[in-house]
Amino acid sequence: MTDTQFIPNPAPQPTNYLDEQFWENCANKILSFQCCHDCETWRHIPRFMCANCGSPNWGWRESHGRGTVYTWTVCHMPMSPHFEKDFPYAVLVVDMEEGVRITAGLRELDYRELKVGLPVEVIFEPLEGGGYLPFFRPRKEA
Amino acid sequence: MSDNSLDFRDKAAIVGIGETDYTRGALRPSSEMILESTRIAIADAGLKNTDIDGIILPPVMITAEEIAANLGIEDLRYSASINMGGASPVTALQTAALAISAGIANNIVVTVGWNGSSALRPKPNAKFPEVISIPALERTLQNYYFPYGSASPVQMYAWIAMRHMQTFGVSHEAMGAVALACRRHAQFNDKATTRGQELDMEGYLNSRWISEPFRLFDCCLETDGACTVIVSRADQAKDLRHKPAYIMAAAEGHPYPADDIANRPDMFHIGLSNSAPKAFAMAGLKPTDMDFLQVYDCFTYVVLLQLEAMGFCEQGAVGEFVKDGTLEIDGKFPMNTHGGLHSQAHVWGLNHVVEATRQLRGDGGEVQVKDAELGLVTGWGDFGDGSLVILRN
Ligand SMILES: [Zn+2]
Repeated sequence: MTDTQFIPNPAPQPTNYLDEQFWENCANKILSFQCCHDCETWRHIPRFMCANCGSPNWGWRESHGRGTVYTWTVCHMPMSPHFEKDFPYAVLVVDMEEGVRITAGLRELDYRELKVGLPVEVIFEPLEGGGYLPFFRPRKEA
Repeated sequence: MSDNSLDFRDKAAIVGIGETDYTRGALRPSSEMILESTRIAIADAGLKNTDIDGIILPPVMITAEEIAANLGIEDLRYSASINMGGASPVTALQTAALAISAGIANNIVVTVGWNGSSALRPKPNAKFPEVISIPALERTLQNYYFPYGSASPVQMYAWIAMRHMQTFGVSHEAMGAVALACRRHAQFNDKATTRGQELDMEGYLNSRWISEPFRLFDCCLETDGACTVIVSRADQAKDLRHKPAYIMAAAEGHPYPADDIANRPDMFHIGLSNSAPKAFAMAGLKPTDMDFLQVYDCFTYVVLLQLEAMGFCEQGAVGEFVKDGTLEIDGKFPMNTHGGLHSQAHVWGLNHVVEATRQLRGDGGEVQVKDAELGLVTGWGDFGDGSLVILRN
């Protein structure tokens, strides 16, 4: 049986240098987002232009790594062998203080205790093939 | 619609419908099934193969060129491919009506077929593996969703559903109302793969979790099969075999940003939130004018979101709206009278268009909606693209 694109893999597969740089920063345990040089609007997922002002000028800025839970799902049926050891597992959408949202896994909390608005902070976990993935856990300090 | 927009209202009609059997394990290529349903649809319309001069496809398992070569179409005047996932078939009706009203083509094939059960996800016995191209989403999926095991639409739409449930307190029973309506109607449909498998609320609530808040019976079927509709010039449609289903209005819509669910300022502003007002305005109608609804039902909650986006009720009030059988055949707005993707078959919602046409012909059998004159069909696809067509007889 051949692979299809529906088989997920924990290793991100950058298709341009924006994604590559985002993941390189993660590999250094830095969660970063793009910020527009002209209007200071943060953005994620990475893009070549600022949707707020149209500017192509931007730079990476380190996130404080803090946010709140916006929504989530709890996966009871892993769609690939990579995740079978972990299920059931939660995948969060986190509202970051910088004004962007990021999707990430949950750590250090029973998924049954999840609620909208729960304060969370980023932690990094190593990937099997090298690099780090950001996850979120309940915030330790206010 | 703005005054200078090209108005294609009532310029085109659905004149032919065709379906293969819907199965799990077809063991034949999608292209063969697409051609079978196309032959049936052309014959149903009373046309000849060579009358077809336009072909519109979603990004699936056959090309317009291959269809034309099989049908013997020497002068294919119009072809297009729509990349909106499950919203593609309804969007294709808009594109067909535009091409016809502009005089580019006269008789257009709109078709979908796949081995959605036996070949899409890896199965050991898959004889003809198939891959669907989803270029608009692949970058987001591979970089930002897959690394966390979020790989299937059920997991991604769950983010929207969970947020909506948490915000408005919508109950699981409201989701169940969608499942039960579809399953009840499927019991009367001879193509429905769940015919003979009745479902009640207890059975729904006891089904296992797939990706919270979705249970097994919130999810649609996986199907091998194909279906086709023929869209023709309205002025020629009335001379064909069946009562035409006229395309009063159609529109497509995309959420923003369309390629990332997480960063939408308003997660409940879906593609249909943009397309529905345009389509209702073009038709000069309102949601409550509809005699029946065929709503894209990949997952139950997706139906609830669409009902709100179309304005059947206030945002957050959909749980109240769907209770007490509103969506069932004897309710106020019978929905998915063939069983839908949930209980008939998953053919990208083009089977919803086939069923709408049948209802407007009066061929609905035991689930015929009495005096049906107006109906709508929605499409939903990719990360929430949404299209709407309003049909009349
Ligand atoms: Zn800017």
